[in-house]
Amino acid sequence: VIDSARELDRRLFQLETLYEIGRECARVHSAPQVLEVILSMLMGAFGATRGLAFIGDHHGQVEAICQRGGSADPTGLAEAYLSGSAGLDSPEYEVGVALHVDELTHGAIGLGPRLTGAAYSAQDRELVEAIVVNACAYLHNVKLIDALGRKVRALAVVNEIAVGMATHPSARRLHGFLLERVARALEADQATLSLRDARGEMVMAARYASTDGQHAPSAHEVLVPLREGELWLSRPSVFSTEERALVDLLARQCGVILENSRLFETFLTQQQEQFRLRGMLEQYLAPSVADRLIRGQTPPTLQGMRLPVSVLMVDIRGSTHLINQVEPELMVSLLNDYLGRMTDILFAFEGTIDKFEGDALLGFFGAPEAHADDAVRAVKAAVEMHIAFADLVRTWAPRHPHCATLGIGIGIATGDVVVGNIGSAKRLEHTIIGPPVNLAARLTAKAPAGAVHLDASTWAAAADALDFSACSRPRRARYIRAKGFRDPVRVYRLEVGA
Amino acid sequence: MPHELSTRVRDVPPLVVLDLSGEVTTFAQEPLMRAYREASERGAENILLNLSAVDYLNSAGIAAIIGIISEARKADQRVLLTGLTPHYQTVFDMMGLTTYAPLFESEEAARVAVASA
Repeated sequence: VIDSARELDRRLFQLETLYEIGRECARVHSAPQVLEVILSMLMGAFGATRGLAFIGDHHGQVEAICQRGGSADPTGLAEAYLSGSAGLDSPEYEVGVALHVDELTHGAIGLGPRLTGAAYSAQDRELVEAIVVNACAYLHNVKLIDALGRKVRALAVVNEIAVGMATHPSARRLHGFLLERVARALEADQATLSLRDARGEMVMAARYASTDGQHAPSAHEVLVPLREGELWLSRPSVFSTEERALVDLLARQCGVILENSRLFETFLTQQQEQFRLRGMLEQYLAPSVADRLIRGQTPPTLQGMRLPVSVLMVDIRGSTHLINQVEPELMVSLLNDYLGRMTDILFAFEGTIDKFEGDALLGFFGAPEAHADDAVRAVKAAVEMHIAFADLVRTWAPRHPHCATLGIGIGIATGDVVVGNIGSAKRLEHTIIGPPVNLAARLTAKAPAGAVHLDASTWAAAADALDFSACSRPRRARYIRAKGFRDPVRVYRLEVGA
Repeated sequence: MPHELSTRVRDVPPLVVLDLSGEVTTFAQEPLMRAYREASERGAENILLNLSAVDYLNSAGIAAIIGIISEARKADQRVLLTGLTPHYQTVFDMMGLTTYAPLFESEEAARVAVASA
């Protein structure tokens, strides 16, 4: 009766282990710790002096191992068992029970001889098996929690990647950043990102190697195609189906980000080129014309092209006298004010600047964009220039009385010129060449302050469209002798503010 | 820390006493082994495990104590027990531990028994 009572007590104590394992497992959070709890509880419940527990994959890779009371390294035994090449028939372990954790993970628990030397009964073995089957649920749960944690970390990586885009503008840094984040999320110890180059050949864009010390050779790898390349990850433990799906998800996101990055870089390059070009063009073109030229809406005239244009030249009357009266610095300041205003007006009518020569400005209307009313624009610009210059003089005069008598003369000639880059390979100038250029210069030279001299072609093209509210209407043509022209030149004089 | 086990090693010739306090569970294995090794380094031949301040002990804790008894047997040392509650006395007895680690009512009783042996 006493023996039966003791046996019953022992069985109750061993059954309590079922409950106790749950209580202990609730206090730990990793598979190795759960394994340690299960093994130590079983050893205590059955009085074993030696015990071994391990889990891993079907390829023989050990995920967690726990040994108590043994002296030899049990890793080889565990690997052989996991890969299926050996059972748990070691003489060191009198009871061996398989652990089935999930589709990818299995293992075993072995109990060695008891302290009392008593053999394990059939009932003992059944009870060990029952306890192990129950305990597997805790291993399964802790692995699920671990997997969930990995997913949460991976989702955090997805978010981090999106945020990191803003701070990794260069493609090279972005490649390294993406690869490192994905590798860490998947706990890979090695990873590469390869992308196709311009010739379509796969080139390694980034490489990642974990810095957590020396690793066992990576037995498991995953290769995911990207839109323009591929992502390769490797680690010692097997990738679960869910992890592979996660790699696919991250790879897709990486593909989109890399494509966006490539487009962004292309856009930036184009923008830089446009800014450079715009800076150049806006030195002699109206911003609106420069914009249309950059966008390709206006064909460039870099090669010499023969085009009808209206050439306008404006020059200050009395500037030679002024130069002798004022300091050079003041003269420069006045000229900058004046040329700035004249340029603004020229651009307002979408004229193009050819060059500045001292206090003269040479511009033209009709290239690179031709308008049906280029001659009219030129004349209207000339009238505006006179009005603006009068304003300037009123501004200057109180402080600089020498300016009070200043005025400008303007000449406009219309006809064919050649527009294009002229010069040598080292220095090119976008300019116009042709008789209207010379004629405009001669007409300007003969124009007194407040006057606009138009050649016959300009007058014929513009007269009907002018309202003469701001200038006088010429009653008749004049004839002037102009250097370089054999015959007297017919001129129409408009007077502004007369 | 709920798992924590505190140990103290005392010389009470001819004993070396290991005072255990707290919980003797799965994670008692390491501190218990450390205390045992310290006692061994002091040349202990008779090691008394004093469990009077143990709040909780489960089968994993028993496994840890079995570990010490096994190690002591290999090293020709004797392990003695004291401070067990009646419940744990029953458990230790039923598991056959008291055969290999005799149980004493008190530290003094263990000391006298060893001294007079």
